[in-house]
Amino acid sequence: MEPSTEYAAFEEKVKKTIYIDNLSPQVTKAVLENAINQFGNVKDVQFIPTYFASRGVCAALVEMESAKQAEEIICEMIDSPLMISGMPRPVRAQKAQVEMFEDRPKKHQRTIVCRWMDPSHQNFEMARKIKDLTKKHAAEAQYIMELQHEEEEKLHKQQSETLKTNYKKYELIDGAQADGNVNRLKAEYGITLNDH
Amino acid sequence: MEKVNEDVKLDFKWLKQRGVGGKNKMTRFYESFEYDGVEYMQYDCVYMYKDDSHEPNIGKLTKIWEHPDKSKKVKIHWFFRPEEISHWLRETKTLENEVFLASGEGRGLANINPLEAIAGRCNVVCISKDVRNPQPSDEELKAADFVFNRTFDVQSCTVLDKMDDKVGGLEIEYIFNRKKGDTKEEIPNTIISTEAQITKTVDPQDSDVSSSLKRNAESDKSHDRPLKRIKSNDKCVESAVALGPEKMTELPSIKSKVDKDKMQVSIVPAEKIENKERIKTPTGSDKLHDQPSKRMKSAGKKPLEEKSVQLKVIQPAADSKSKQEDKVPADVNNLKTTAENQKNGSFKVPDNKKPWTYMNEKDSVANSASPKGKSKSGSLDSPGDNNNSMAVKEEQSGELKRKLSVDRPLKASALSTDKDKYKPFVVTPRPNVEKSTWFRQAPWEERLKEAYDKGTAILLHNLKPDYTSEDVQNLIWHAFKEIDCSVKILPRTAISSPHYDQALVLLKTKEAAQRILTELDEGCLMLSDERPLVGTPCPQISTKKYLTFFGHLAVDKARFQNQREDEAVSTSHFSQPNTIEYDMAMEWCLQQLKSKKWWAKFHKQQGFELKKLEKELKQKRT
Repeated sequence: MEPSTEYAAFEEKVKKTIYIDNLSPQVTKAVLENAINQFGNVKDVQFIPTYFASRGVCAALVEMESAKQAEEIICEMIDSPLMISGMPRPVRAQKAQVEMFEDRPKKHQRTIVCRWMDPSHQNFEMARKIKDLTKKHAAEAQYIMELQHEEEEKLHKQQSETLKTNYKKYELIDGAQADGNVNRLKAEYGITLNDH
Repeated sequence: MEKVNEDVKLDFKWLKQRGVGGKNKMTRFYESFEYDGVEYMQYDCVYMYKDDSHEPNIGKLTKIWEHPDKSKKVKIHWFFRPEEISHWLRETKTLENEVFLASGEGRGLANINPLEAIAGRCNVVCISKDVRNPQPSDEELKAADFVFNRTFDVQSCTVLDKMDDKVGGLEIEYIFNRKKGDTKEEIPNTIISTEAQITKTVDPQDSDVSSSLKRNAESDKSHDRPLKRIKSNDKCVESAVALGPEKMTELPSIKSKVDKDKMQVSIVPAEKIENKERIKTPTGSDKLHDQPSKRMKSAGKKPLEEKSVQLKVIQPAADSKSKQEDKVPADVNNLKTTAENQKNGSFKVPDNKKPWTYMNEKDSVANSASPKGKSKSGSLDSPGDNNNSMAVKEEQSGELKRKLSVDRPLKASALSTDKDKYKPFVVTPRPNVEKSTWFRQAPWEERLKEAYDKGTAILLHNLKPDYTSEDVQNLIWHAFKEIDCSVKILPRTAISSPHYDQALVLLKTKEAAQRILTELDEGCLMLSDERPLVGTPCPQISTKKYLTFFGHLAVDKARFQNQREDEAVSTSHFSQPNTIEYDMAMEWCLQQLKSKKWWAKFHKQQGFELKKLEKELKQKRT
C-alpha cells in the first residue's frame, strides 16, 4: 500500500526537523527560534507538551529549511554544547521521528479491527499478562524518570556549590586588590606583581 | 606442554612453523600456536589486553614470530570499535557489534606486541558485500562476536566502504572471511567443524561426539560476549521457568540432550547445525578449572549443571522465522524440564524445515521426557496439529486454565464464539461527530486540567503507533459506545518507550470514565489481535511553574555578571572551552549521555519482555 501523499509530505517534514530536549521550561518559542536561527533558517517551532508532572523533559521540534541544515546543526550541537536561556546545562538535539509529532496523518488507509476476547479463550490469560506487563512497564518508566530527576538534582547542587566557592575565591581576590591590601602586602614582601 | 616463562603460568606451544628469517635466520615465523588452551592461527582475530579499561582491543594476528632470545611477538592489525572513532563517525549508524578495520598508513594501523598480551580469540566476521568475500551464513553471523564491512583510514580519519586489494598492507584475502572448505580455518570457532562431523552422522557415536566435544571444550575460550548472552539467557531462563513449561513458544527444533549417566550427547541433526549457545560445562572441564575461562561455569547456575552435564543448544539455521535470542531460553528451559524428568535418551527426529513440525519435534521431546512416556510420538506425523501439543502442555503444567482442545485453525476458533460480544468489530468512523459541541470549547490543556479534576480523564496504553486521534475516538465509540470523548495521542519523546504508545482520553462523565476503566481491566480488548488495550486513570497533571528544571545556575552577587545574565536569559551561546562553564557543561553532557544509555537499555529490556509475551500469544493462535 502506498502511503498517502499527505503522509509523504509529512515524512519530508520530519526529516527536516530537529528534536531538542533538555530545554528549560522558561524557554519560549521566540527564544528558541532566535537561538537556532543563528545556524540556519527556522521554519517552525513546535513544543512537545508535557502534561504530567512525571513526564519530565521539556522538548521541542524545530523544523528547518532543509534536511541537510537539520543534520548539520545536530552535528554542531553534538560537538559543542549549546546553551539556551541559562547555563551550564546544554540542550540536546537529535533527529526527529514520526512518532514525536502529535498530529500525524494516516499512513495508509486501513481499517482497524478489534475484538473483546472471550474470557474462556485460552489466550485470555496471555492477554491479561500482557496487560499487566504494560502497567508494570509504565510504572517502571515513571520510576526511572524519578531517578533521573534525582541525579540531575544532585549534579545541579554539586555544580552550584562549586560555582559559589569559585566566586567566593574571585571575590576575595578582587576584594583584596580593591582595598589596597594586595599593594601593601606586595610592598612588605618585596615582590613585584603584574597588573593586568 | 612447555612452560615458557616462569611468571606466566599459561601453557604455550608452537604449532605450525612457517619459516625463518631475520638476522642470522634465527627468528622463526609461525603460522599457528596454542596458548592457554586455545589454538590461534595467523590472520585470526584476537582480543588484546588493555591496561586500564574493561573492554579489550580487537585485532588481527598478521605475523607471529619468536626471537632468538625466546621472546614471542605478534603483529596486530587493529579493529576500531565505534566508540573509539565516534568523533569521526558522527551520525553514521553502526550495528551493535560492528567494528572497523584500520586502513591506510601510520599510527593506529598496527602494532607489535608480546604474544602474552593476547587475551583470547575473537570471532569477527566480514559482512562486506564485496564479491570476493565469502558471505557469512546466518548462523555464522549469530555466532560472531563482531562484524565489519568498513574500514577506518588512520591517516585521513575517515570511514571507507570500499576495500582495495590491500588494506593497510594486508592482502585482501586475509581480510575477508576464509573460504569454506578449510574445515579448520573456516571460522575461528572450531565448534563449527565439530558440527561438520556431526552432520554426517545421524546416530552419533559415543566416541566421536565426546571427543569432538572435548576439542570444543579446549578450543573454546570464554569471551565477554557469549558470557553476556549466557547471563542474559540465564535470566530469561528464570523468567521462562516462571511462566511454566507451557512456554515452549519458540521453535528450536534441534536440541541435544545429555544423558547424565553416560555423559553421552545425543544430537538431533538438521541440515545445518550450528552451535549457537556456548552454555557448556565441557566434559574435559578439569582442564579449565584454574583458568579464567571458568567463568563458563557461571552458566551452570542452572540446576542442570550440577553434574557437569554438557549441553549444547543448537538452533536451526533453516528456521529463520524467529531468530531472536529469546529462542534459547525456551530451549534451555525445555532442556531443563526434560532433564529434570530424567528421561534422557538418544532419539532421532527427522529433519524438516517447517515451523509447525518443529513444534511437534519439540513436543515429542517433551513427550518422551514426560513421565507419561513416549505415548505421543504420534504427534510427529501431523504438521500443524496443535491438539496434541496442547494436550501435552496440559499434562505438563497443571496450572493451565486453558481449554484442552483447540479447533483448527485457531483464528476461526477465536472468532467463532457464541457470544456476539466477542466478535471482532471493525472500527469505523463514529456517527454524529459534528454534533458534539462539548469539545469545541476551551483549549486542550485547560480541558485536560478540568477533566483531571473531575475525574473524567483516562490514559490509554498499548496503542499501535500508527493510530491517530480519530482512530482512537472511533474505537472508543465502538467498544464502549461513548461518543462524547476527546482524544489526544501523546507524542513520543527521547525518553518515552518505543514499544508503547499512549493517548489521553477526556470523557464527558466520571461514570463513563470509570466504566471504561473497569471494562478494560476485566476484559481484554484486543487491538488487531496482538495487544490488549490498557487503561489507567490519568496521572497528575502538572502546571508549568511546578516543573523543576535543574542545571541552570545563577550567581547573585557577582557584579559584572549581572549584565551578562540579563542577556543570557534571552539568548543562547556556545560555551567556550576555557571557561568553568564549559567544564560544567561537560558534566551535564556526561549526565545526558548516561541518561540516554540507560533509557536505551531500559527500553530494550522492556521490548524484550514484551516480545516474549506477544510471541507466545501469537504462537497459540497459529
